[in-house]
Amino acid sequence: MANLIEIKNLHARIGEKEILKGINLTVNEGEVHAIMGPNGSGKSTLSAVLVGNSAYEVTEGTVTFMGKDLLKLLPEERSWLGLFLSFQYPIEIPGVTNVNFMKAAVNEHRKYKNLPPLSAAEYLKLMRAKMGIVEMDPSFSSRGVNVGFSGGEKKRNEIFQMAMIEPKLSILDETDSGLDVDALRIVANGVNKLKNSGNGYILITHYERLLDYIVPDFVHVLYNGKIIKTAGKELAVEIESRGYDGFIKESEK
Amino acid sequence: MKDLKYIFKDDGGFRCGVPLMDSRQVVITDGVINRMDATGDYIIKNPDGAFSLSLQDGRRPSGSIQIVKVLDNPGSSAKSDNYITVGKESSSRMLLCYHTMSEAAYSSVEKVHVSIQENASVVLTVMQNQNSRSDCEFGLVADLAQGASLKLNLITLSGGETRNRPSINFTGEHAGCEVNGLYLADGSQKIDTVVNINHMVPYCKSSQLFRGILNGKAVTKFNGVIYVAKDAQKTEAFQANNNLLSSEQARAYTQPHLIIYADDVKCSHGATVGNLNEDELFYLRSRGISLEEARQLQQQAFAYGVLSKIDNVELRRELEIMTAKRLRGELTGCMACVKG
Repeated sequence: MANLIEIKNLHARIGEKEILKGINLTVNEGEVHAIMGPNGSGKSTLSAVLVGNSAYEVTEGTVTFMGKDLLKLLPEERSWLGLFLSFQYPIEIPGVTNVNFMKAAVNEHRKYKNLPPLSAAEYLKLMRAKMGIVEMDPSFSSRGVNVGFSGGEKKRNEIFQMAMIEPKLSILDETDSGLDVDALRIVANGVNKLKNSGNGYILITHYERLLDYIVPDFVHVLYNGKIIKTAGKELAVEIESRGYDGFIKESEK
Repeated sequence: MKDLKYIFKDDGGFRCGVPLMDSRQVVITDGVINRMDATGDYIIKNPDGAFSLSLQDGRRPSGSIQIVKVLDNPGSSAKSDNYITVGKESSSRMLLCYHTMSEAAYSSVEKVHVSIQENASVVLTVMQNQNSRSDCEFGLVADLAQGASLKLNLITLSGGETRNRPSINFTGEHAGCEVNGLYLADGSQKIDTVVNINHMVPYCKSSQLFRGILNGKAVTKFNGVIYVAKDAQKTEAFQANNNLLSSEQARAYTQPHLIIYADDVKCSHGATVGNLNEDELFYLRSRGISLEEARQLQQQAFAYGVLSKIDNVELRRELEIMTAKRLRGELTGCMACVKG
């Protein structure tokens, strides 16, 4: 099982406010990690820092992804290497159609791999197949990216993009938030279909519910910018019944 | 967006290959008609380096008529008063193209007087694609009689110094106009637009959408005047001007003017000048789209807000492609112009 990402003592801040205070996390191929934690613990900051959001400044620590120093790379280079973030709040881009967006993305990935761009017919075939994974209607392809999409449709669109790009490591930032049971099942099924022994997942979530569908190998509790506890799937069940308080008090002893 | 290079050279057999499967073409080079298809219902004359085009009452030709005005002889300057008359109950689709044929400096003062008579409707697309050394003043004055309608698409792909002066006058009630403008400027190009919409009579509607994309050290000015006379009750008039600055040094000025003397009207305006949207850029890049490509997609999307208003799918597609090429600095002349 090859190593995908190794995060060591990662510190990051936004403005003067330090949010990540020494994160250590390693994800290997084939693994699913869940990161849970109360609001404001740094979950979304962690995902933003990993994909290169320039609003955050890394002050200490290292991140090695696919053998490379991730923190030195541009956001697009991180994507080419195989990193993907399913946004908690996907951005709407009026005027750019989903099809032009994804065609540009897929072809840039192919260029990086020294492959020729897909022909229109090849792209269409690929797109149809991947849309099927998240039960998305092909009519979405001609609409502006996320424009007028419901919350559930936006999240499905994120997973569709993930399916098109076939990343090595995907971070799903609260992909379950705002989804009804049916949408949650479709999204989770999509992820399960894409999961294999060669890729890895980090699921950021508030609720155990998602983890009933996508079963994690590890559950981490993030609090105040640090991982304070790591265990198996059973930890999520425990959090659901007891809340975070107990773990927080234990960690502060 | 880089400076355009005009490599295209006319060899006398100029023909525009764009458009419109069903279009009839008239090509006027340095003021002289040098090519004219059978013009069907239209009557075309060529006085003093200008054109005069008329469509008689009740005529509704199915296709478009395209007038291509090219400046070819280096250093030539042109000054012309042109006329378009569309008779009662008629309907017409027109495309008016302005080109320079070499990298030489040209100057032109072009006026187009449009008269749209009772219940006639006109869709007029003006496409300006001139080199960075050209100086062009384009005035359009349209008078709309009762029940007349005008849709004016004013697309400025390139020009050295361009002064566009469209004016619409409502002279009869229940007339309407829609004006869609797109201007692209880069290098040290200057585009100055003054729009006058004069609501002199009641029950007319006007709407304007102008968008500009600026690169390099380009400077654009937009001045939009909506005048509503005292008696022009029940007027509806809207105006929007949005500018996208894709470089630090580009400057866009925008100034809406609403002069309203009637008291029962709906009028509004909105003007914006902004940069590329950072959140959108980041989202695109996170999917592996390079910064340069993400910027292109965003600019094309911004332009599409105007181009999407063009109903003729064929023409819209051509203009989309030309706009995309232009934004990449790849457009050398009007790519659809072919020698033949």
